[in-house]
Amino acid sequence: MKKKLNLGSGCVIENVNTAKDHFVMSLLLSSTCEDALPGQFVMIRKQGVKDPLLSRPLSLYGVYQTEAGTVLEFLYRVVGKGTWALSRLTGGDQVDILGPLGRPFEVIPDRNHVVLLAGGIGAAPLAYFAEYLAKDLDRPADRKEEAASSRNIRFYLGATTAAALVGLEKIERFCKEVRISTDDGSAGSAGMITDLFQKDLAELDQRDLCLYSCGPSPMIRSLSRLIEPFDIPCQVSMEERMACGIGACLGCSIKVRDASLGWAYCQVCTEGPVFDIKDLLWE
Amino acid sequence: MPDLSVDIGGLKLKNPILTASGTFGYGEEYASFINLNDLGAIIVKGLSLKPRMGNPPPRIIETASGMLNAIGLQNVGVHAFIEKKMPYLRTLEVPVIANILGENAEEYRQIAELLSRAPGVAALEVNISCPNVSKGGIAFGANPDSAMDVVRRVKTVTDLPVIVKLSPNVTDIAMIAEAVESAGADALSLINTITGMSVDIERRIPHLKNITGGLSGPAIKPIALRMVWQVVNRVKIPVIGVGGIMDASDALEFLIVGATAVQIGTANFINPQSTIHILNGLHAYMEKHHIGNIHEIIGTLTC
Repeated sequence: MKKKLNLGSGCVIENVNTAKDHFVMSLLLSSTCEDALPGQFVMIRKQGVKDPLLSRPLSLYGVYQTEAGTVLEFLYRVVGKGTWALSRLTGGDQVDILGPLGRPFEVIPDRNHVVLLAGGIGAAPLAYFAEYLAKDLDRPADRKEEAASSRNIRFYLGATTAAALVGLEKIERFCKEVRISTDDGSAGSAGMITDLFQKDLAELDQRDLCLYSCGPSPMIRSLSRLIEPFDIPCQVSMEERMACGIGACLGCSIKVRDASLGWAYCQVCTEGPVFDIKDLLWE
Repeated sequence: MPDLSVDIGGLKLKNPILTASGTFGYGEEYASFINLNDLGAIIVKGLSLKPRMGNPPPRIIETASGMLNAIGLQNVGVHAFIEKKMPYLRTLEVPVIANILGENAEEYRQIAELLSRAPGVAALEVNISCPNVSKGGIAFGANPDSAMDVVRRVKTVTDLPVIVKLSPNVTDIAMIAEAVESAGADALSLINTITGMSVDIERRIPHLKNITGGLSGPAIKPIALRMVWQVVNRVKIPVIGVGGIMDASDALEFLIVGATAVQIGTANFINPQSTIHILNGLHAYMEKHHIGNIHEIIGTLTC
């Protein structure tokens, strides 16, 4: 239960507009952070600013230990006032950081065929996870070689249009296979990314397969229906508006299965953001 | 060291910095950020007789200098609180105040009775002002007769100090304050959130699934301050000021107006160490102005 949480500050290194409404921001933390895992997030706000009032939750897109200290990387989309304010930050600006927070993706050791399926900005945490798996950061140093040969990572990335395919540079660097779809057919196959995955599913060895996903709710819901008949472990990263990020405001509740009550609300910030897809309930 | 101790209806606190119910969980959530024992008191998330699921999401939205919430009193229920949350809270030295909410007047009495028998509860805060539940809450706080009925029933079953949390969503808050004082309340806390709403113009739907929510944060501070000032002029019992306090100067405004203590709410979400920063700021202000006792500040407004 007790977990040490970091409350600190960071300095913006750069904040690059990589696609329409999408930015990649990197920060140098004021203190070293060695346990920031894929799937986790931080609450972030510009230091000394009262508007916007609340911090915004951003999932980790990359974590690097450098000589100067820990660098955190975020890929985010501007959707409102808070993310717009973050997009205005430039090199040298100071931010307040709370985190890393939440439950990370869990690596399943005996499943070597890893499928990562993302929609839109959902690519951010999965791109970091791809890097983490490709570099075998979950395994002890002396077992890395054996691991590298056995793990196969395939990334499915869907977006509305070619210009909204974000995180590809990182994804292509770390995944052997990348499958793409767009709603308008401007890149990859036309249609839903879940449809593309469904076509391939028959060819995959389901006993060796594990799935990780992040994206819009309708996509997660389709995925949930699609894999229901199969015994494939699937973890998904969920999103809700948050005020505190530490389980106090109860603002980020989502509906999950509950053994005794049938269902219950639980907090995305502390019990998630990564959930087993079988635990999610849909209206 | 200046003396910051205050007395809230018989409850002695070493300083006037309290946490507002619903913004501080059950205390433990903040244990890795601050020494909880440095606080004047912890007021925990509102408790109902049975566990409550709360409202469907989305439950919060940021607005200009504030936020709307419609959590709907998601809580573990009074029994689970006593069994699962109190053991940890009892390990602390800080007084724990339980905030209670019933669906009817009788339920308030039942919850009060259970908590009064539970070791470690220092006081009760009776919530007759939650705007986000269909039964209870504001239904009692908007009417002086029903407010008095709830307070009288709670008072019959407890020896603990009873603080009544008032709603700003009324025509005359001072009238409600006088009514609950006459019914035996030991102290008042005000204000709860102000009912508001916000609309997504692209989809033309409310931002909150509950449609309306309670507004908190700096946006409501002038209103809270005005109401505290109105109420302290009409009642003799101590008043705890709450509403948009973000820093020590905000807290000082409430004290100067006449609040005996303050509660910190939304600020906890923005910085989990806000309470301690505010406490340190109070110390610094007192030292700067050579004030030895907090009572040299409380109720010293000159108009």
